[in-house]
This record gives sequence, C-alpha cells and structure tokens, in this order.
Amino acid sequence: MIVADLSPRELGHWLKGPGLGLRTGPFVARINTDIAAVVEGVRSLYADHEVADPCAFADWNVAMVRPWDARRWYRPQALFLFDGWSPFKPLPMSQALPGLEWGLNWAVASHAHQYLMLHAAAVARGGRAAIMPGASGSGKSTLCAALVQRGWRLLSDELAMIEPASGRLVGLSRPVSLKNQSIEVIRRFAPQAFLTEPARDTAKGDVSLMKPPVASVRQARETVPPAWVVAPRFQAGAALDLEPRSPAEMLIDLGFNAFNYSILGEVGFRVLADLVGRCPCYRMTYGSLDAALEAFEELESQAERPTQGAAPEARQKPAPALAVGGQP
Amino acid sequence: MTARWHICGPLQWRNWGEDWAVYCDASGDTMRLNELAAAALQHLQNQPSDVAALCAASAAALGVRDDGAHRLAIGGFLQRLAEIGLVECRPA
Repeated sequence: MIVADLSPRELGHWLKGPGLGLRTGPFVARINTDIAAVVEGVRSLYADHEVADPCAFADWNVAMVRPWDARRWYRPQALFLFDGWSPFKPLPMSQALPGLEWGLNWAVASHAHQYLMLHAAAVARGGRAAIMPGASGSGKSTLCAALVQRGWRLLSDELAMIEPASGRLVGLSRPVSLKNQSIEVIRRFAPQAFLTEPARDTAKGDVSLMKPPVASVRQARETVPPAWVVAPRFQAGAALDLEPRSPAEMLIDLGFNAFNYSILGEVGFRVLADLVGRCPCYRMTYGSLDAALEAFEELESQAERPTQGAAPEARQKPAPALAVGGQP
Repeated sequence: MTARWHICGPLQWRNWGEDWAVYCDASGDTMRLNELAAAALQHLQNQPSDVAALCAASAAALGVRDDGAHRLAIGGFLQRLAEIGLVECRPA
C-alpha cells in the first residue's frame, strides 16, 4: 500500500493517532502530526511512498506537533520530536513541513552509522550513480532537482549513503529541498514538477520541497554503484568547467564533508579510498543548468564507451607534502 | 644519544600514482601526502630512524639528492606530523 491509497480521512487518522509508518529507502519512519499543513505535505510529497505495516519496526518515531503552551494560540509554533524528545527549538508554524524534513535528515544523519553518509546529492541512470558533494548554497540540490526532472533517478538531495561492504549507494528518494532563487529556477526549468508553496524566512531562507518522481520512489530499495564524484559549484554567468581532481584530494574533501567519517574510522577511510579510486572525480563550476546537464550526459556516454571507467588525466596540482583531512 | 622518530600507531595506505592518502588508526586523521612525505613516513613505519637516516633512506627511495633542501623538507614534514600526533621523537 502507498500513501495515495489512503483516503484523506484514513491518512489523517494514522498521522494524528497511532502514527503513519512511511518507508523511505531502507528506513521506516513512524510519523505523528496534528498539524494540517504537515498532513497535507505528507499526502502530496509522499503520495507514492510505501506505507509500512502498522506493527512493523520503525527506525525512528518522529512527530511534528503544536506545543502545549501559550504559543499554541499566539504566533503558533511547531515542535519536532524524536522518540518524544525534541532535539531542536520550536519553529514558526509556517515552517512545520520543512521542519519535518530537516528532522528526518537529522534522524538519518545521527543514527544510520551502518552507512558512510556524505553531505551530498546522489542521482543515478543506467545503473550508475553520481555523487555530488557540496555545502549548502553550492547548487547541489538545484542540479539534483534538474537532473531528476530529466530522467535521472533521485537517490537523495542531501544524504548520499554508501554501504561499506558493497560500496553501493542506497537511495532515500525523499523530497528535494530547494532554497531561495532555486525555487523559481526549477519552476521555470520543470513546470511539471510539484513544488510546495515556499516556507518564508526559515534559517535557510525560503524553502520549497519538490516531490520525488514516482519511478525513483519505486526503485528506492535498489542499491546502485557509484560511477562519478562531481562536486558542483554554481556561479552566476560562469561557463561550464569540469575540472578533474585527484583521488586523494577528493578523499580529503569527502572526509570533511561526511557526517560520520570519524565514527566509522578505518572503515570510512577504506570506503572513501575505494570510491575515489574507482570513480573519476571532478569539480564542476556551472552557470546554467542546461550546460551542467549536458556535462552529465557526456560523462554518461563516456562511461558507455569501451574505455569505460578510465579516469581522465587530472589537471592536477601536485600533492602538497602534507594535507590533513577528516574530522578529529 | 641519538633521538629516533617513531610513528604513533598503525597506518592504512592508498596511492594513485604520485598521490598518496594515509589513515592513522590511533588519531583518526586522514592525510594526503606527496611522494616524498609518503616515502619518509613509510620508512618510519618500517623502522624508527633518526633524521639523518630518514633523509638518506627517503632520498634513496625517490632517487633524489640527500642535500640541504631535502633535509629541510623532511625536517618540516616531521615537525608537522609531530604537531598532529602522528609521529614522536624518542631517545634511542
């Protein structure tokens, strides 16, 4: 059963009562909420996601609720709860839906240490995945949304999860979080995409959530091997520049960028070293989505040629005598 | 009495051409090294050494001259590794 199979009344019953078990990739989140905008957000953004058996184990029990204090009526707020405990301060009610998404990201990043988790978007096509690491504001979610709207499979816009044993990527297929100018960019680029009304003035600016394509949701439990690491950087007006980077240089960057590299220790090093040794690594500066998408098409067609997998010669700066990476 | 440099814990290595990465189990640090630094650290991993022996061994491994510039590079490298707790100098 998927969320769209539930009537609005049934969906409201589960969310307001015993909790809705929502499967996103390998995880089940049991969600409670008494906030109408969150109920509507779950209905629209997660329509194609599987509803878990009510008795099934849930990886996390989360809730977005109205606190029982004066703010229930005066400038209402929404509070994220994880197993009944709140890791964050309450948010203005208008930010309840993105707040649930941030809370779910936090739940994964703080607990799923069976995976190496990178702060990166990840998409796949033809059985090969691209990992796109980047800080907030680098343009990774915008590029991820654009690729997904052109037929790439969404694994995640925020959390690239790698199984240590296989080196394969595990998808989450949750909504893509778009911020500020990216919202209008994607509205123009893909008018068919479903985006929520922006939540204004959040800590990250204006935030809108893009519904993941149904095909991505249906494939969410299929792992896929990484084929490229592309660190995007949006720069208005810039010509496309796809600059090869050395494996060790990218390894250091990914170590800094990972949520749990230091927790995994030697396993994390092995996973990253295998990743950068196997996949060509690039820094991509882009000023237009069309040019960036063309570059991805080119990478994909290169991978299909007989010289498949051969890493390009890096326009490589010599290695420094010593560069220290990873988290302490 | 000569002081010898030792590594402080097991190391995991990877290399791609002249580009090296090493992970220290004891500190949890990951480092990117060039050939010179990698040769010096690998030598210490196999055999604690004084600076002179280390310079000679790393120069021989890379086929470069063990001159003042080489010794200066190795000295700076050791200092940096000691600061992050990857190597230490002990009396022989």
